[in-house]
Amino acid sequence: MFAIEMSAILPPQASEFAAGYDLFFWYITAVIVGGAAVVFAMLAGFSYLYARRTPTDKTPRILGSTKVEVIWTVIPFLFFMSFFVIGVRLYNEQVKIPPDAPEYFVAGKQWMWKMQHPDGVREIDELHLPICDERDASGTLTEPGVKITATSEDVIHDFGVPAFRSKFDVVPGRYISVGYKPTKEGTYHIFCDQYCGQGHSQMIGKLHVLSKANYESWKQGVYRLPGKNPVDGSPAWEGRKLFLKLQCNSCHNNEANARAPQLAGMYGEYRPLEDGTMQKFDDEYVRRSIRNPISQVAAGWKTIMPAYGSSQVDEIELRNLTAYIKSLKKGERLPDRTEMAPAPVGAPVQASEGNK
Amino acid sequence: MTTKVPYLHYTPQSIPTPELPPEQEKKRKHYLNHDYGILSWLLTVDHKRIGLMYLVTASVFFLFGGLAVMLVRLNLIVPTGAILELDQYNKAFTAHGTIMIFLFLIPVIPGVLGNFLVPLMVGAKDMAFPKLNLLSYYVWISGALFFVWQLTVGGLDTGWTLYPPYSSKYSHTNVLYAGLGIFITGFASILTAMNIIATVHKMRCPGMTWSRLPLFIWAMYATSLIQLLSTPVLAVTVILLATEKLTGIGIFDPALDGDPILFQHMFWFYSHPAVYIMILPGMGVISEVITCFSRKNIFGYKAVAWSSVGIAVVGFLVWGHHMFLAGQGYYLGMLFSILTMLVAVPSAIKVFNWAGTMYKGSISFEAPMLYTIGFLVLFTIGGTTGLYLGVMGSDIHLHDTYFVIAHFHFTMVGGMLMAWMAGLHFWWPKMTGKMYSDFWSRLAAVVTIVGFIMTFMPQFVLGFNGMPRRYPNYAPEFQFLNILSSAGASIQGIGYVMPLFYLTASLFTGRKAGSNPWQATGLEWQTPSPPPMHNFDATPVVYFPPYEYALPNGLGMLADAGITPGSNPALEPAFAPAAGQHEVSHGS
Repeated sequence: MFAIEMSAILPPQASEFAAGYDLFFWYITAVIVGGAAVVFAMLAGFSYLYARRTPTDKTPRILGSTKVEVIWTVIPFLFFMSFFVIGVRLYNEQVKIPPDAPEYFVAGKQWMWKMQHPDGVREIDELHLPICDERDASGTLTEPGVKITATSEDVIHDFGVPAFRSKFDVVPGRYISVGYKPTKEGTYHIFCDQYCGQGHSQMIGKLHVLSKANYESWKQGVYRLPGKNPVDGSPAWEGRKLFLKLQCNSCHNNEANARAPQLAGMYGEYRPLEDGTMQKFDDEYVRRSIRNPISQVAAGWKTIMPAYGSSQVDEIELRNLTAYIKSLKKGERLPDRTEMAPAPVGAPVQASEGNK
Repeated sequence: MTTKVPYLHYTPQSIPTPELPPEQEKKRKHYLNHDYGILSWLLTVDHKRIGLMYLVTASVFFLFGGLAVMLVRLNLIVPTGAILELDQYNKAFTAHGTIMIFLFLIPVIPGVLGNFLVPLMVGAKDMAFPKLNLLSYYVWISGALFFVWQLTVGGLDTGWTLYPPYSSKYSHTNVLYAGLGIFITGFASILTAMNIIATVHKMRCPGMTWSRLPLFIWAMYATSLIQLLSTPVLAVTVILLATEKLTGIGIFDPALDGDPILFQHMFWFYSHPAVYIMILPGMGVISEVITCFSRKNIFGYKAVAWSSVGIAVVGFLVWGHHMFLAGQGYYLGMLFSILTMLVAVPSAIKVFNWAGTMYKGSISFEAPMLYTIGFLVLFTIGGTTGLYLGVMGSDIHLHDTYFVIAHFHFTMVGGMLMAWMAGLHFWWPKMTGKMYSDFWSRLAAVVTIVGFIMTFMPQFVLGFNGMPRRYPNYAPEFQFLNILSSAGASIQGIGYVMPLFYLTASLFTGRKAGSNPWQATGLEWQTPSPPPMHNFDATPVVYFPPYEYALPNGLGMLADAGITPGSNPALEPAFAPAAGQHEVSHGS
């Protein structure tokens, strides 16, 4: 366990983005210190030079000067525009994530952070990430880094990692993603930055950046699902179990007269809806289709699917279902209508297993 | 001789303002002594008395809000929280925010100085709708009572921003009462704004053209436009929130198929312009004070006046910069960011123009001027640090941290509150007829400003290090800066309590101020202090633009205007250079 770096003057710089951010921060600082210095010099200088000498001091009647006013309008404006342009590019860097970046899922909940690694390993209030350190000859990182996707189980939270200079609101009902390229090993704060109620200040966590070797060995030490059958524990595998447990397959199956649309090979495609619009089959669509199925019914199908609220399917489970649906390639078979969820390990074996 | 020109607007300083002999002055009836008794105050339609009623009530709320933040700052001395439970802390900072914003910052300058000064400055006998004016005070008070009541029955813990779904579903505190309070005080805002707009349009005295309006009036006018147009949106938002809470109809809660970001859009559509509602009147005050104490014309009247209007208009289009990280989308964010850069320009212009006004002046440093210089220094810091937050890239790290807290306190307290103190000290002699202690008032100004800087400078560093706002408990490495900040807050607190004493004392022991203690040019200074019941004994006539402090010889200027000493200008409105544009004074 590493101690959190104890500096309260300059925060640690632990990601590719943080370095760029700090450059920009100090650029703005330099400009505004310069601007403020002009104002303060005027105030101090005039206060000193033109302090009242006698009650009858005469003052010149100066009504303004267009030339001077244009100067102090245009110069700040140009600087402000430069802030805008660089700022937009910087923001873009945080939200444009390489498509091959492995996806970590974060679910905020009053007042804890639930994390799930791409291979299904879960943590609470802690997140271990591998470092990005492969560079090409010019020193540019060649790794994609990691993608963090988050949503909330209840109110709006905000996932902030000051050492990465990164932050984004975690909003219930939608997914928001950012990319990280951690460059410095260490342990850093995770803060909830959006006020979320009583335990807001306790909704904190630790983010550990580990070397690749340490990351792998850390994962080896993580408790895996036990059982006779080898399980891969991945989100898609968990999702398949859930698919069976919730009996999604009683309608979403391979039979010719299935009562619900086929799901294999759909992810990423556009499909027509009952209302005539085309909808991309993406994470948000899957999410809405489970939480509130009648809102976007696929063309030609009846509105028979029940809604699954957060008490039946929590955010991580929903994410795993999505991962399962996403993993179904075209032509792949959904489970048969009669397939049942495997009994939990250790459950008593019944004489007539399976059918009622 | 020259005293026969009693109400010549912007009398250059060489013309003394008429003073009555002491024995007559004692018997003179003015707005404070023409009638006594509690009902003569509670049922008054006199804009000056209503202004004073606002002064007393807003000051009480300011003290309440200050007490709440004392708890907050005390608690933050220790990383694990010194005195409060988590819930208590959340309620304390919410009480601080809601009281300071809805019951102090928004109403105080329009309510006190706006009410008191707008008719005086435009040369009218009263507001356009005196009874509506009284009504708006009572509407405001009844809204405020909901806040006070909800505090006594358990408080509110949502923060002043009331974001759903926390406020609509998860908070078990008095969201509805507070919402009702916001809704009702909003109507008071709207009524006051209407009244001021109507007064500025229809009640200006002869010769008071738009280009001769004092900049305080321009600022109040721009403020009123914002209030009139944006406050209804807040009312709608609060109603929708209450609807969701009471009936379970999904509007903002995603579990009910609502959209929480919609609330933020609607909320900030009001609440961003609201920061201009708070700061613009303060900017108006600064223009009045800095010209008077530098004895100079304002540098660039048109730029200062139009930048108020520019801020009011563009300020409506920047609300989304509160939501860069809330999932509003990249291109929308870009639009809001560039508009935010645009709205920063007029503020920069104003600051430079005020500083430019001091150039070659004859500057004296009584309390109003010290507060004004404090304003210029602190508002410059507050305004420029806002740039970090209005730029998409730099906002990522600073969003919702103490950097934001420091920034908006620099604008709201360092800007608006300093301006309010400057204005209060500037016009106190006019309101009460008494001068306060010069020494204590200067000391209070210095103490306040020093305490302020010590409180909020460390918070910039805390924010850059990532300390989130609204945290009763925090990481131990932030403790030193928090202690520094709390220490500064207590110094600042002393600075705010001091005026309570010396201003109150001045009512009893202060020397007579006379009609124009600062030798200022505004119309309000051309009538005795305290002003008579109907402000002016005769309808004033205006011949000059404002702030003619530099004229070497007022009489020469008068001769140019075709008026000689002894002639009565009140009978010669045709001599006003801009005759034809003027309005006839109300009921004269």
